[in-house]
Amino acid sequence: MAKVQRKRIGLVFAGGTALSQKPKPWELVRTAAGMRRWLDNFPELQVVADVEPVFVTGKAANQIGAAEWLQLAQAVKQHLTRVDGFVILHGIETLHFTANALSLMLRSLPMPVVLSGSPLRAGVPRSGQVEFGARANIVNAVEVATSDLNDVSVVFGNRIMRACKVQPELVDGQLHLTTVDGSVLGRVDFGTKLFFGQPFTAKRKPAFNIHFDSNVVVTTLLPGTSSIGIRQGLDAAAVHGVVVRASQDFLAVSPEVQRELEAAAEQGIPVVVTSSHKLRSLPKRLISLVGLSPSMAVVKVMWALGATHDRNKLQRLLEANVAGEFTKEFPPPA
Amino acid sequence: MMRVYFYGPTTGKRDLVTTYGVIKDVCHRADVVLSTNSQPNLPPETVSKHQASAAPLLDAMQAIIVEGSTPDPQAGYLLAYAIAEKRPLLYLYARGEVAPDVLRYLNLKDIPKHVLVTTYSVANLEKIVESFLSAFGRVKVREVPRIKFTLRLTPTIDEYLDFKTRNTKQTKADYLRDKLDKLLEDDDEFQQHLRKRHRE
Repeated sequence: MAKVQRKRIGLVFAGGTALSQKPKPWELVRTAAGMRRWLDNFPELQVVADVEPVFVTGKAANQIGAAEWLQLAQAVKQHLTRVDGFVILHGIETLHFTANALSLMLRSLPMPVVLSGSPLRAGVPRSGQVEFGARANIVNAVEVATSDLNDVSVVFGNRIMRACKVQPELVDGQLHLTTVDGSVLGRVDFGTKLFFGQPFTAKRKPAFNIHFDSNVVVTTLLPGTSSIGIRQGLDAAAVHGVVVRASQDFLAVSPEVQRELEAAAEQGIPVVVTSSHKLRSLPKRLISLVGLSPSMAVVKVMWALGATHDRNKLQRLLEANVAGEFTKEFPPPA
Repeated sequence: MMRVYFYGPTTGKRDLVTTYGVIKDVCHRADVVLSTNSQPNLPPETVSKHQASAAPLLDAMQAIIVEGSTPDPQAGYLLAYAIAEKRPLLYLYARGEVAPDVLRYLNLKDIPKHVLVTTYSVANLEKIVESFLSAFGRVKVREVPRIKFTLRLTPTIDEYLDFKTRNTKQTKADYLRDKLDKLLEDDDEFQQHLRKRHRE
């Protein structure tokens, strides 16, 4: 019998390893030593591919931030020549932030990098859990990692999505992952089915833009909000940027808040105003960022600030469509 | 109604065409809805429900049958999925072929009871599929009347059969078979005998 070339998949541990509603201690991989036992209890994974474990962090999803994003990107870079694809296991609650970040850092990849993991949430009753199994979700992710989807993607149940567009959504009390424009790259129903053939085959050398500046103040402005929070944030040491999530009509924000933001911009602190739709009137010193998911808008500012603090360069980086993150189809503003 | 997903690789092998035909026939006789990758045979409301919940369509299947004689990554994926989701799976490979490559990565203890890996020949395939469906799907597979039996009738019995099947789509043979089926189903002594034979 002829042999089929088996793929070698790097399984990167960064949380999201619970396999049951009441996980046994070995299911929660907190250290590198725990990976072997977890894999021994998941023998079916080796049927899909040769799985090589890589430990990055055992932190819970809500503790994962820029430092871990950098570690994950470095782990992919480090093991790139040893494997045919990656699956990054991650808790579902903040997976979209990590996915957004990795989609900016890892470009022109010669192989798939799939973020997935257990969709089960600790302390949430059964009614709030998704309808598919945690094991099956990880099997699906490894299956997609053996495909030709050479990009950073997210597998959630049967959905294969671009990492740069992923955002969370509550459906009947269950936390789902979807995309900002509802698009999917493919589905895993009876196997991997990509809808766009192989559009992501890298033609260039892989590019690693591994940098982040997390000294960013994020604030949401709604009509009637005061500037106290912004002032406090700006007073704190080492603020390198301000991200303002603005409502539809920036003019509706109090003039006092606008003055605070303009003053910050004058001091050389980049102020980026993100919104789902183009704002009617925005002071010139502020940078407008339209057409990104809320998480991607923040992540992109952090990523761009990691590369430069020069206002003009920053604006160019923010406006560049790095990973296909901009979308025209946006849900109507609330 | 039971739904079964069937996967067999597309090859030019004529033997496999026969195999696929036998599996389809048994599923048809068991009133099982057979789904394949190209023909999911699922109602649109099931498909839209699964798209909304992100649950794979494989979850809508009560069992999976795989023809795995030829090395194929898809067969490995279905095997892994069935183990992960505790879904009954019949993994078939032709007698005379070496054990499938994917099985090298599982210890015997790792193969759960709901996963049946077995060799087959065209002669015993029907029986294997039938017993798998009966065991895991709790479905009854209609037997095919293959045994030829010559029965001499009296003119009155013949007239009676004509009378009973007139203006119906049943043949006289079908009518007699139905009556006998009913008789044997209601015969406790015979049912006991069957159970005993199955245990042996």
